[in-house]
Amino acid sequence: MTKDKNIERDRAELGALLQKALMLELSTIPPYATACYSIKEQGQYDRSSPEIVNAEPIEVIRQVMVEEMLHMVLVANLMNAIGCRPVVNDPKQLPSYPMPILDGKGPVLHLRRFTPDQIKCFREVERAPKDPASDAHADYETIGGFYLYVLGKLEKACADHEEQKIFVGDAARQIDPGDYYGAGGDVIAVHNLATARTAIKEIMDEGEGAALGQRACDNDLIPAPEGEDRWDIAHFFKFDEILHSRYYLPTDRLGEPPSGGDLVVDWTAVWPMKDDPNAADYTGLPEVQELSDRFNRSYSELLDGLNATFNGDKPALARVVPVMFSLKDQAQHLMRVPLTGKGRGTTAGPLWRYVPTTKS
Amino acid sequence: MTRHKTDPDMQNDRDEFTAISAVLTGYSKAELHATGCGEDYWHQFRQVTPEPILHEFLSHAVALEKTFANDPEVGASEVRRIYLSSDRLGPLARSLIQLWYLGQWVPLSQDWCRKYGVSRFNVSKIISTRAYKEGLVWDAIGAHPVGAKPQGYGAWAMEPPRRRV
Repeated sequence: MTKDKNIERDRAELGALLQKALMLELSTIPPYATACYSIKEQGQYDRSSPEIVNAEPIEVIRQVMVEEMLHMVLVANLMNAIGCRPVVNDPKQLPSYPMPILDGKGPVLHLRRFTPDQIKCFREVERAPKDPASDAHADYETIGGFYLYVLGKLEKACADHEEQKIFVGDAARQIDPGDYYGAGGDVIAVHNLATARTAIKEIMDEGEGAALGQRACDNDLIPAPEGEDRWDIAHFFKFDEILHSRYYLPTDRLGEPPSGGDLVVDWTAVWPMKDDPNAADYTGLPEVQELSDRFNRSYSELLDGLNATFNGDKPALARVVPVMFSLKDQAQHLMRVPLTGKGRGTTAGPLWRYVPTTKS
Repeated sequence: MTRHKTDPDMQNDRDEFTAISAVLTGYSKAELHATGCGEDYWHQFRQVTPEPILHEFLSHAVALEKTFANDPEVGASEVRRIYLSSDRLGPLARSLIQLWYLGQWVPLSQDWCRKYGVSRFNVSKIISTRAYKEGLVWDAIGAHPVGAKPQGYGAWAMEPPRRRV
């Protein structure tokens, strides 16, 4: 009986940690998306069209963003595997900006346009743990360290109890490659400690690169213009590439600047969105408020849809894909609307606030 | 291009252009800004419209905006009276509405040009790739621009959005 009590306590503790991980992954997406969408002239990934400004930084940020989405799915799979309920539409837990992450030990996330400072902040978010062994404690300072801590807890729970008593979740709730497409790597259905390890390793590998034998990237190729090679490097180095206006090569060593081809960045081709916009900025501007409310309703529809997806209604995922595209469109629209009054000289921006919807 | 002496930075004219565009299209000024095409459309409109007519066209903007805010029905009949039924302003208003909805300049007729002035910019053209994507028509009919703004796999099986009536 005591043993059962212990196992439930451990499960609740793991569930709380993973729920925190889910919110952490989610909280990175609005800042990444906002910076990405603030760049003028969205283009296709095609370097042969020089009139398309900033196509490359747009593509680099987009790749990171879809990988964060994949990480959310992986965390939800981990939670469902151990019989915990992922929640992504609880206003009390949802991020609001500016927002310090990792209990104040990490960088502060802002909603800002595409600027060098913002990309430096993103790079900080994706920084690897300095010393994985020591970061596996509760005093982690990086997202990677946090995941090592979670993994350690999970391994201990499996050692203390039996593995199959930890992994009691309904297998039908696992999002697998059949449910998910087009974004950021493989979905891994989690059924036991081994698959849990693989899932956490995938999250960490994409986020940072210290585990890659002192190199900036492994040898995985990603889609690239014909005649050129691109390696799928970790997020930290992707943001580093933007700041250096240069791609990494697989032979580049950690701590050294990238030495590959040019990555063309134009920091001026950006809509002058107000930093960390909030509802008060739109007071007295009912037309802007209306656009902002529409955006928030769509964002909420997305979160409600994801919540349903992670809690047994897998077809909901396909239904929210058009909502994601529409959010991009609406965010870009907001960023073109000039503000008046004290916001003069800047434009509006998406607030990414959850408003309860009637639909679900 | 016609030079406008009265308003060197033309900000007032620009604001009036946005205001009258909102009145004529039925979309809010913020929604028109949101297309990101306003500057290009203003440029095109100025290039094809002789200065005195441009000023006449813009001169009703502020008053009409207020009328519309108070009573849309009165506003609509005023638009019919001042613009649509006018031999001079009507064709301009119709081309401007089509510009916002289609992203395309629909040329004024030869008759109109003979009477009021010819511009070499009065030719049929899509203003820009963005103008095509941001045409109001897509939102108005609950569709998306063909070949741009993808919606994701399977979206064709879903009901189109019903944002506008």
